[in-house]
Amino acid sequence: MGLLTDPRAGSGKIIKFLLKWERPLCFFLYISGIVWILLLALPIFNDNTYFSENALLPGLVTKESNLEQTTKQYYTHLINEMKRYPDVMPYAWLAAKLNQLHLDVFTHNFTLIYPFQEQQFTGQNIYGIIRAPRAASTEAIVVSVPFRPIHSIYLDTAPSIALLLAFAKFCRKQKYWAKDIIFLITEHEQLGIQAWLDAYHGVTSGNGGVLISGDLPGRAGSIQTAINLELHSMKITSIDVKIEGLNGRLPNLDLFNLAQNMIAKEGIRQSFQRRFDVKYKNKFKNWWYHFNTLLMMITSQATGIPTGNHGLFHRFGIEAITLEGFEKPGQQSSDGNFYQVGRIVESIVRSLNNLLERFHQSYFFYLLPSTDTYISIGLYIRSLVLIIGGIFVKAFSMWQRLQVSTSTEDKKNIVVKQSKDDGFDIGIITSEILWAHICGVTIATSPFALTYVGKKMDFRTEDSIYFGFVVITILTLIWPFYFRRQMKYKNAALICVIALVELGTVLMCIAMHNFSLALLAAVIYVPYVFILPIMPKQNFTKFHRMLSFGWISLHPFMIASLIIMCYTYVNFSSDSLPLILFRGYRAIKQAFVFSIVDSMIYGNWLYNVTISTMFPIWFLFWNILCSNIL
Amino acid sequence: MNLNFIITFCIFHLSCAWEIPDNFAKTGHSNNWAVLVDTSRFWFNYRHVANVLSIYRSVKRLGIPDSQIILMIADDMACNPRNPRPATVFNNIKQHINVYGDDVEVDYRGYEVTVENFVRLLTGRLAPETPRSKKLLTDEGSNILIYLTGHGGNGFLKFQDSEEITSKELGDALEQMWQKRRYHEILFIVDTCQASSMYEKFYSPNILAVASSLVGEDSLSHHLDPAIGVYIIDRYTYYALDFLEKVEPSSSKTLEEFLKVCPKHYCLSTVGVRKDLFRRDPEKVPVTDFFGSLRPIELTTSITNVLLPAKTNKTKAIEPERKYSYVAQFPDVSKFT
Repeated sequence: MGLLTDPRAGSGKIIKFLLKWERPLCFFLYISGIVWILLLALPIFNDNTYFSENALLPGLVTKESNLEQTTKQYYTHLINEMKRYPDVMPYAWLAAKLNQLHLDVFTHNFTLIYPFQEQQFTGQNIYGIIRAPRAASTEAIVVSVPFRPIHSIYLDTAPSIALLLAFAKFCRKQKYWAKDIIFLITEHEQLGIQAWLDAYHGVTSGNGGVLISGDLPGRAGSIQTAINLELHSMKITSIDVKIEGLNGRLPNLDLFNLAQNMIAKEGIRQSFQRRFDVKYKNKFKNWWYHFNTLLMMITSQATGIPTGNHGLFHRFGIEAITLEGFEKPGQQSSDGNFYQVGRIVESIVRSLNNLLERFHQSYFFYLLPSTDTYISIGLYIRSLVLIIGGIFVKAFSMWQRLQVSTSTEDKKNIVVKQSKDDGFDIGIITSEILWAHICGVTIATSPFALTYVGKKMDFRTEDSIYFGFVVITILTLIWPFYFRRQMKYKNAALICVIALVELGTVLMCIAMHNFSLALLAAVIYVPYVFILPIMPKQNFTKFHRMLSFGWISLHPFMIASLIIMCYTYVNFSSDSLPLILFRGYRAIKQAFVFSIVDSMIYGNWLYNVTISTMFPIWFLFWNILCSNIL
Repeated sequence: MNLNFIITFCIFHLSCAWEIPDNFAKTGHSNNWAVLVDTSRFWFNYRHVANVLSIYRSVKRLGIPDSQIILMIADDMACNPRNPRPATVFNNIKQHINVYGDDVEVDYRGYEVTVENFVRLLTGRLAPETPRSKKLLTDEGSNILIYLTGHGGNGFLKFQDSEEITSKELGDALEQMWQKRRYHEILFIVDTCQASSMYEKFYSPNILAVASSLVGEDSLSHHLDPAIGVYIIDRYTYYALDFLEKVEPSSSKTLEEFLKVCPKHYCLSTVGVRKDLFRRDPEKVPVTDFFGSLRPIELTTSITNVLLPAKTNKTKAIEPERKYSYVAQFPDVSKFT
């Protein structure tokens, strides 16, 4: 009778097949996963978007607004006011305008205590609430705009503030609101909206004592949806719908469809990822265009950084999007078209007003290759499963080989040679794994210590963190060389199996939260894991040595730096090489700080997860590659 | 004698002026009832409320009094905060009839519209303290119009958002009504998707069933009112109303004509009819047998002598006074003591 633990019990046909074809099978799985991703962008593989939610009644109602003139008036006043106070938000003016419309107007103060230096920043949000005239104030819709001062490095949003005021004036007169509408103007980009949301819900999302959101003087009902407006000009020719939120969360697909449909209905060009829907006759070109859009979504989702203020709502179960309006440079249209833009906002908010429940009918997990087609999770997850499947095949066949070799050895050495020698050395294996993970957690929590040390040496935060990380990277690279250890092949292989299983599991877990991040990580790490030379040193060739050397470039810090360098190169390809390198170097420094600060303020887990899970896995492999395997 | 003469004269005169229809007195029913049910709630189902209120209005115009109409409406569209025309419900884009006008008596409203209440209402098994307005007080002489609208599927009709009545349950409820002699004839109209599945399981006599669509078909809405922002009436009901608007209490339109309302190119769905349980020929049944409330009057041309009661001597009969006495206790134990 075959026991579960009997090594020979598993040596059936399938296992023999796996052992024989292990490497080709792994690569076949990997390549089919990649091909699957490529195919996803083919129009025949995509479904057209549609409305799942009955209650939305999109665009059925006659639009009544004409916000052109009022927006223009508010805009000229606002610009004057902003010129008088170029660095701050014109709180008084905004509050006065909202008060004139007889809204419930409140201001919200928040403080940011910058985590690495004892610096304080303060900000203020202003919001006005229209109470639903014939309904209980149990639900609310948010219309928000980030305020940007004249000297801001970001694109101007004054037109959207003007539109917000004009729209508030319009809404005030209507009697059909079933939900409260909150008109919110926030300061300091995402900090303002994060603080406001924290205060609204009475929670702290990031680390305690960093962003102090205080309390709100007035509230409406539970927020169902939010529309964030970033209109950069008074002549809008195209509107981009931004969806990627914190940690790669997306709003319900119905909301995205609603926005795209309403924009199309008003005759303004709609885009996604700043790319319009272009239909090429050439099938390959068509695919390539869609694939690029898809890839842009994947990359922007993978960073886990919200693309706009909408991204911070998702955490609270609030569906939110940003409408970003652009003017086509050079095109001199005689008139502004806030008539249309106003009607887009009106019809979206009117549809949201019809909602009876939160959005729940349509997809929360999807990828978009264009504005009117989508790929559901049922389709895209297969590619990642195929890629990750290879890891498990590899781990399993390694494990089976170990079993086979032990059993054959056992047969040869009938002479009683106690299992102490041929068995696995559990102590070495566990300590190896434990130390790698402890290292990971230590590095994840190191920034405070790094900045503390850096401050003693008069370093700026950026520098101390960057150089700290450089030192850590170098230490982790030379560590195994320093303790040139000898390890038996069996132990090394078992560590390898465990690391492989962990890698597969971690990737799958990340995919549950942020598919794009898991996909990109898998595409980079998985093929390298397949070819890593885990074998006794005497069999090493030069090629093997090169392969193990290449593993350095997959160190999480290294790969982050490489990616940022490439990104800088793509964005500033016209500059000279030293300048690009310098720009990249500065960008890397900032990126490290931002990712750490993001995790503290907003709860972005990209930094924590990469360092505490991907780093130990990398380190385990690196240790094995560098140790003397007998 | 004078009075007698005048009555006879009048009747004689009238019978000359009108041609009395053959079957005028042969309907066999003595009263008319209507059960009008909207089973769906939520703002986007505005049209179902408009449907049922429109039928209510027609039925009332044709003479069935409010006391004999049971109106069940699952949601209050008129006072929905999303309604841009508060306190009104319209069934046409022209908005010339507010079907939620002055004189609407809703008997079951909101969450009272449940399968249980509906079946209890039909079968007469309501709690004794239920007010008269919520009871279907029919007898074996009642013609009942049952109109249902809402969201249906194959073999069921959804009530509210939580439960449904199956066609089998409905068939059993009607059979119970028949056995309890609660109706004479029933005209059953259902306007839902796959509506004809609702009457497939009927097995009680004297039921004529009409459905807005066959199994596998959707019943579609007729048109949208952009001022309100919702679809405001369903196709079948729209054309049925179109027909009913031309019916007067005295008109001689027959049920056969009503069954032909809304042909496929108007309805986009096939109107289903089930006649096998109905014993009369629809061509000879006036619509007003179900939609109106014309009491059958037997007309006579012969003179009848109405004898006035003779004056009698009304003396009170004197009853002899009785004497009451105690009856002996049973069992009598006195002899043992």
